[in-house]
Amino acid sequence: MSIPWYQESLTDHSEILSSRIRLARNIKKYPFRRKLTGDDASAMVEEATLAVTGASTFFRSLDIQSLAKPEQNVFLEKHIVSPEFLNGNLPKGLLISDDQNVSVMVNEEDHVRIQAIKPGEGLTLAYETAGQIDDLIEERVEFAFHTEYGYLTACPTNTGTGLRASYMIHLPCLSKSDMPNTILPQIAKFGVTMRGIYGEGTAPMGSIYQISNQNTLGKSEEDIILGLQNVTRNVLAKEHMARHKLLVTQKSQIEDTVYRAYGILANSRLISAKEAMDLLSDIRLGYITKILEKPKPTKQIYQIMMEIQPGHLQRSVGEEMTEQERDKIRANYLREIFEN
Amino acid sequence: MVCEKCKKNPASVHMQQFTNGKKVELHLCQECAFKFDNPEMLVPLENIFKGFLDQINSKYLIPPGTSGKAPVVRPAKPCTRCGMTFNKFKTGGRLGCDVCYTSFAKEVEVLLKNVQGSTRHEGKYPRRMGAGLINKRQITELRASQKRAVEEENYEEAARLRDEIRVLEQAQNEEDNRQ
Ligand SMILES: [Zn+2]
Ligand SMILES: [Zn+2]
Repeated sequence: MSIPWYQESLTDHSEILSSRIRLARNIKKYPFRRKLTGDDASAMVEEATLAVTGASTFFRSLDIQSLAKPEQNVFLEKHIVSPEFLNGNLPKGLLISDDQNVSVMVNEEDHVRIQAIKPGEGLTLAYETAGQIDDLIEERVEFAFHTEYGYLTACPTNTGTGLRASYMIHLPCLSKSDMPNTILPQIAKFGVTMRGIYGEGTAPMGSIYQISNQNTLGKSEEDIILGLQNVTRNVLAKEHMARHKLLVTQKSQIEDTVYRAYGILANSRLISAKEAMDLLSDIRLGYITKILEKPKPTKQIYQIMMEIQPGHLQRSVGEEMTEQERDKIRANYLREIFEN
Repeated sequence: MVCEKCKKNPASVHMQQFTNGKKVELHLCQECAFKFDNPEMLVPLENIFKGFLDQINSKYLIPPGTSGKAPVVRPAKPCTRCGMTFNKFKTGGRLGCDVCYTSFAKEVEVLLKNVQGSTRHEGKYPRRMGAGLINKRQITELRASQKRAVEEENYEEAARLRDEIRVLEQAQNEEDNRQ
């Protein structure tokens, strides 16, 4: 059995953390979610679920509504489900592969949302997987399709291919500069968008960005993926330049930042998700630049980043925690990893 | 400031997103910020659609010749399948069914041009639609190219295209006869 993408041996030296493909589809027989009510909704979920499980024995159905909140949040933090999917009491279905790398949300914004995740650079592979699942489901149900506009979706921002391709990337050096702000309008011209999570207007949390295609219509799936790959390559080249510049001009400062980050994570007693994410990013920069080679935890830094998120922590403890209790548990967890 | 998504927790995370070169700011709580996934999910749709909805209004809803100050607004007919009205779509940002795309054909055309920069699907076709449909589209495209070639007096190219069209048409006829 294969293991989840976030545990796979993507190295701590690659900027691309994961690759993701999402395909949005609707079953022709039923109206979209806004106009889908009562019996129709249940019938649609049943039909779609049957089509997916019939398509491949590889999926099992997971009753996400019966799970406790922290368990649900774990799926959110892993980006397997969306908040929109969890909200509300509409009938819904989640079909998921054993390794959680392939999943299908039934009755999210669109009837069917196929998702495939691969570790590191694996966008083409992820598309192949998602495309195969799409073909298999399509043998069993008829999707809403328009000869001019392609696959029809509830929101016109997804019409056409219904394809959203994205990379999670780690840009520790660019985010120390003002560069992301200058890059973003540039990549927008290529129909690509990049998002970071900003705490109080400073650097994004953990210097992690999601870069994805903005448009889904007017280009083939292959061209969309190729376009995103090209833009991402350019962004990574800028990151490498920024890193090189930092190492030439501010070597001691970078070394200091990396070792201090290690010191704090190995010693703190209370730590917020934001602070921990940023320090983990600095440590990861240490491994990337080989400033830090040992000690090195057996877990990937990105996996640790995920495990310190509220849902993951809550699940590991079991009971409801306040934010401060979470900060304490988080600090304990990180100390265990980095103390030795 | 309260989180724009859950409208419950205090907003402590400020997120920037560039969409078509324009910066959109979002103010969220820690939890909502981490949950967001799909690019379109958290940006209020009114923002995405703003601007060109006015364009739609001026292009289709205000009859030419009127000053625009007191336009006679043509009421868009509700969708014949699901009953969705264009106004509901404008505020909610989501269409009600596949037929909405034809019920609001003109508006959707403008919208797609603006949001997507294109109104033509160039990607995958469902297999069940068969080669027939793809063929028909190819023939239409080739005919257009042939016409252009003739106009440009590129007769060699026009002849080549004509032959190509013939082959496809033949295949199409055979396909149609089988069905
Ligand atoms: Zn919130
Ligand atoms: Zn409709």
